[in-house]
Amino acid sequence: MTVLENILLVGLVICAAAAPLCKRLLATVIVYLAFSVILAVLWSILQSPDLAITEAAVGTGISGILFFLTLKKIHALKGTRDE
Amino acid sequence: MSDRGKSGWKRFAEWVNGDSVARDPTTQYVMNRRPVRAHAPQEFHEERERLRLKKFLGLYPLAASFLCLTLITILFVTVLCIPPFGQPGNPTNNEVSRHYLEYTEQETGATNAVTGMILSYRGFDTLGESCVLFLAVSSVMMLLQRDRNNTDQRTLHRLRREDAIERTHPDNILRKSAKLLSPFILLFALYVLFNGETSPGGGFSGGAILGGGLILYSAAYGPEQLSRLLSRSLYDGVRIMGLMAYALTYGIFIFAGANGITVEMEWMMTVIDLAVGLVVACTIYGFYTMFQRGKL
Amino acid sequence: MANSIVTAVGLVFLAFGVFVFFTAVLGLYRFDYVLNRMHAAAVGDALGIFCILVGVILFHAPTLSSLKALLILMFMWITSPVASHLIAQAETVTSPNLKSECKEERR
Repeated sequence: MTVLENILLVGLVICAAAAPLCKRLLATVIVYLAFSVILAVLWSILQSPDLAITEAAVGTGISGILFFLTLKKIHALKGTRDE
Repeated sequence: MSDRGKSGWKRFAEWVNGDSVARDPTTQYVMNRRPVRAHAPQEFHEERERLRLKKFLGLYPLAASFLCLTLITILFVTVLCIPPFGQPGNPTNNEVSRHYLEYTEQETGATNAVTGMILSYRGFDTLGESCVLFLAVSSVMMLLQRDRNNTDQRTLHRLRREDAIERTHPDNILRKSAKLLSPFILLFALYVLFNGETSPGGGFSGGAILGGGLILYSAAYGPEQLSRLLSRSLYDGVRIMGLMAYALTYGIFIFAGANGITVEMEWMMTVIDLAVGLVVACTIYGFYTMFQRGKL
Repeated sequence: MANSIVTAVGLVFLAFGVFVFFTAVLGLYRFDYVLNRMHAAAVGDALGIFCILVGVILFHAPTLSSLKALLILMFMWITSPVASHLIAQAETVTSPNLKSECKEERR
């Protein structure tokens, strides 16, 4: 189990470092969501399923939706500019 | 001004909404005065802007890396000061946590120690979190809600066009799958919500799943379909009643428990769970609708 | 004996699922255009999820966990193609130069 844990921790660090370094905002959001997925798996490995459920629902689903809506509102997505 | 006859409540509501006519003549003068523009040539502005940008771009990486290195140093020093994992003499292994783990079931009636802790031992903490969520969705509503004063014709036109596209070209795949899935998602949310005492889950996760199900339904069938079911007044009622039910139940719990009177713990935990879940679900759904359409 | 055979079949399913996911990630990385990459990810997702969950079901064969894994499989098989469909639809609706990017596909 520790091997899987170490792999996930390394992925966590890589995602955290990659999120601010992305050029496009959309890529940043997607990397952040990947960070959140890895964190949810890590919580459930560390035997706190309460946190894992909440992290999977809030961090991956709902904050993703809110980020995408914000990107659409500030016209940072391709093709959503008012003509 | 003409608001002599208005009641104080109405004036307060106008002030919250941002009144168009200021009561004070000085404020009115400042509001009416146009901003002064300097009539400098275009090249001068561009040159100044370019210099400022250059200075900013030169300083920005330095300041950012300095800030990051400081933060990393502080965090690493903190991590090095943490006692080693799993030692028996650590501060996490004192009698408080042992007491929680041993007496949770008989003191609060919850089999799951985590739920018992966050809803009964640390109940004020959770009450504060619920208040934070409530205030967050209230302020998002204040900022993003559309009404007559802050909507221009163009936005209305765009929204009407999007609605027309939505109505004439419904996405059948999304609709069928949402129709198939959303009852199960809501059922699972209720299961997680009410089963928080005996299994992982509870108010926060159940409420988040409930809000996710509502968002899926709203995204598939359009906001009108859901706002017929969950109108503005019902939404506000559920939000406020959730918080009030929490405060009331926890108040009874604290006062009765502190005075040595035995109270029925089981239904109180369920009520608190339900209240937290409703507040969280309303927060999430309110964020979504406010960001999406600015209207409930 | 039968137990070990079931376990072996489950292991084969798991290994094949990991292989399918590997090819999906490879396709996601190597393809250029959005719809191609999305196609690789979606197809790999469906088959890989199926294989891995069948492996998990065979591991925990007669218990309640396998039933839960079956429910997860049904949920993923409903939601994953719908998500891919929505991504593809967003791309085809909003992309300004779809025709020029899809020219090589329509030969």
